[in-house]
Amino acid sequence: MTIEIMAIIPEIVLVCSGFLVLMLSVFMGKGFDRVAAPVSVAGLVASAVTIFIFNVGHLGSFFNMSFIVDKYSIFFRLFTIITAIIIVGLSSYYINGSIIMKRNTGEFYFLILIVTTGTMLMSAVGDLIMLFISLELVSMPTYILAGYAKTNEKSNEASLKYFILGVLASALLVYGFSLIYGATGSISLVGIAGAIASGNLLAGNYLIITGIIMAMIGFGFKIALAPFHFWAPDTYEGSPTIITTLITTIAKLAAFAGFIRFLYVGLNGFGKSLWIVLFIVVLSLLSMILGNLMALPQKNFKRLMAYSSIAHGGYIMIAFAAATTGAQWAVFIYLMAYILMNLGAFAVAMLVERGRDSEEIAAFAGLGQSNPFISICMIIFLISMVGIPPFAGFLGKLFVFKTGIENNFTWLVIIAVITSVISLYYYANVIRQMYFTKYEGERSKLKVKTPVVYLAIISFCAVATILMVIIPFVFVGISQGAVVAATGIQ
Amino acid sequence: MGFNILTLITFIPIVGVLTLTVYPKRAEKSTKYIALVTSLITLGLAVYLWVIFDPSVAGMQFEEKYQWISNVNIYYYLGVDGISMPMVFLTALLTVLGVLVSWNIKDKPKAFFALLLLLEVGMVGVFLSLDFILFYVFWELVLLPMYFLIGIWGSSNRLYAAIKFFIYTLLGSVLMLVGILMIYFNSGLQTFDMLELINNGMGRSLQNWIFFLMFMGFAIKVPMFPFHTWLPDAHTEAPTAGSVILAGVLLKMGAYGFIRISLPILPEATRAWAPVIAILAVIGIIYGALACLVQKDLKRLIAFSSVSHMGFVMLGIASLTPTSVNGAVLQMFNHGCITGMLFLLVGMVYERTHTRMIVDMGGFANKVPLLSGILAFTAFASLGLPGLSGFWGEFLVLFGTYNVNTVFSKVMVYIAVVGIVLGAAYLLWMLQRVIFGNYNDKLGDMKKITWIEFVTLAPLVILIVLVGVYPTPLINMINNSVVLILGM
Repeated sequence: MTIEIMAIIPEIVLVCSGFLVLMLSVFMGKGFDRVAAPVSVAGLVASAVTIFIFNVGHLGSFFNMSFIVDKYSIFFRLFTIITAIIIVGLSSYYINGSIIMKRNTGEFYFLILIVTTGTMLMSAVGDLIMLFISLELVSMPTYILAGYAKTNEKSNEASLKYFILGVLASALLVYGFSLIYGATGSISLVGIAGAIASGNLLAGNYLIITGIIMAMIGFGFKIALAPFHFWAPDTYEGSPTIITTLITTIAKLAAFAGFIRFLYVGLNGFGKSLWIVLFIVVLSLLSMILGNLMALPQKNFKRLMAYSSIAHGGYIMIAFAAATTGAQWAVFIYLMAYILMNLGAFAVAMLVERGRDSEEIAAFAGLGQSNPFISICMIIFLISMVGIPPFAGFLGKLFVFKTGIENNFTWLVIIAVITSVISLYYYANVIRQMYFTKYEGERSKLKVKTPVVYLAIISFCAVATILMVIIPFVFVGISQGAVVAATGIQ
Repeated sequence: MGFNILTLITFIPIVGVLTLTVYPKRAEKSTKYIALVTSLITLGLAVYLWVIFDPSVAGMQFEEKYQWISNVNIYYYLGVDGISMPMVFLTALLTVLGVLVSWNIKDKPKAFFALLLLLEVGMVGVFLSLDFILFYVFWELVLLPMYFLIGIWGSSNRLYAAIKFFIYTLLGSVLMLVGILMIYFNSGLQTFDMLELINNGMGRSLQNWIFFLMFMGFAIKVPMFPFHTWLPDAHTEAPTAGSVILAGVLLKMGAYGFIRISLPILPEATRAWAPVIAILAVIGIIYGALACLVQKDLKRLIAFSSVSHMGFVMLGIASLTPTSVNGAVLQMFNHGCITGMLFLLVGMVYERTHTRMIVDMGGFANKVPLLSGILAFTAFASLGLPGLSGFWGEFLVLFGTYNVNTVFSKVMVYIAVVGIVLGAAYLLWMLQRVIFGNYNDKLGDMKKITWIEFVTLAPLVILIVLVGVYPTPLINMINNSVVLILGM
């Protein structure tokens, strides 16, 4: 029993530091703003340290198979923590730069830490109930955070839309889970896999397939895959940019982490069933085409990123359709690359937003002249998103396409590469603004202020984006080890 | 070998790029010296490589192979043979000239030279890499610097030209990537090693599909006839150094891809597709030449002449005989020198007159005799005057194609010869309008040729004459590798 508790000490530490932040905000008054981010980061670091102390070397499953500590969850949780540290690092300057945002900051950091906890749990789930709870632990705080700019109408709209569609998704998800439970008589993922393997299913395959597809619709909502993406553009645009960053990174990571567990552990052996593959292929196809085409006319940077993230989800789905071990670490590599470049791009966007009071793509005008360093980094992030080497996005696409072709989805890959050429156009639009267009606003706003934290984070993301291609064996090794651990397949 | 010379040649320019990026903005004027030194070191190494290169060996030399991504068999694998050697040299040389011709650039020189050197890394890398993924990485590395060179330093319609170039060529290369991945899985070898893949066991119909995908990548780059529309825009709008490198090296990457990848790895498909390529090539020759006749813009005229001349390269490749492929490689080298030089000259003319319109020109022979003389010389080289280098490439291509001795190949040669005649027509007519006739006084006084300009042009003049008079060593070097690749 004592050992069981030790397995989730990292999460406990994180929740505690969340409450600590909340308490401090109540009792410290004005001085709180200075300590909020450092305390949160300290909590995250402590959580990472406890992963090394209590999890590494103590692999196994805990709490009646509902919480699994393996390389996969360790890797995922560490990666989540790094992402969270970056987001907290970006928060302080962004929040303090706006009157609307700058209140109840204690709650803000508290909620971010809770989202992080949810994502960490998600990667370690062993049964459907844990999966659902973790997903809600990620979703609920994000609904609140999306409406964090309380007096901003768009932020309210974002929050409400996200909430209503998110709850609908959760309902579908949990209904799907109940059907799966009904068909297999088990809620643990391993148990479900066992029932599928033995062929001992209630009502044959129909019940479970219905359940799986409903659950996948739920995941599709959370990941924002077409045609379940309708909330994404409005929510991305309306939310405060720091929360948009959170939604595209940590919340997405959570959905994918759960999806991988669900599909490859729970449905092990079922993942290649025709209906499921077909469903994933349709999701992938629609996401790639709609995401990229709808991004073309966008003028708002965050809306653009919303459609771009839908498209990226579509690319990742190719690997899910392939459903092999190789495909899974392709997903990993892609996710790592995607999150690094997304964090970087949003960091630059937040600087521009603060410096020039606009979220439009046009606000990037002349940035290449006024802030050469962050503009070069922005080019790296954008080009990496197109998938042009030598940047991380290329590695992700390479592996995803490779598994696609390996499993006879060549036609899907061809559509993927053509749509990624289309994506070049809208990413290059941002580059065009930065380098080929003159800034026509007030002169005082020409040079964008760049705090040291931002510079550090942006350089970190840029360097990592390049290193992923130059020394890929490190990243590939990590993700391969993690996948082998999660599925037990060599 | 005590050191990895190929890695050095490829990545020395990166050192220059990094130096330039950290270079203080105050001293921006001296960035050109850094660029010049870096590109000269690269050129020196390329010359040294040529000296120690053994032309009698047909296969790869100075190979370097290190594991890059182990579990999918991706290697860092470089090597040079008789086909890539001239291309590497050409790249290094044209980069130096590109730096020289941009000597007086005022607008953001630091970024300009950094991009130029970055471009060099990509181009040299393409010619040296023997691993598909590495090849692809370098292939794509070229796009971004060129996009910025056109987009920032280009002329009036630059934004359109830049994005058109970028999207068009990216479309080709991603299709090529799909082809590469298909080869990886269907060859049964699970490797990206180009040399190993020569012995693949792919069936004919599969080869045909893969060939089509690779064809898109290469044909857009060359560019072959229906895919050429990005070229006139990009060439015309690019700054002089950009045009020189575009015409001199970038177009060769496509043809090089055909020779290095399509011929040995997809031999059956190549044979099946060869007539199509030949027809497109010949259409390109005639169409390019006809388009030249109606151009009003001098730079656009030379851009279209590239379409025509690259048609000969593709015809040579499509004929699949050693002689014709030798001619194609030689033509690649010569076209790089000659068209590169034409673009240099147009750039110099534009700097003096600030117009590219042929109508506004005329009578240059009296005002700037030396410049006009060199222009005439280059035009003659371009139209294939015997004794200058342009002759040999076209001659070998036509000779080799004719020797295939089928009705089809003969018809191709007859049409291509018409292309040569048309080539003479548009070049001579251009000369007549530009250097003879009455001088347009609105242009003001024209500066005599400066010593930097002279230094820029001299190496190419020497090369054109040298190869024109005595092409044997070059042909021998190319021939050994070509024979090996054709498997004859």
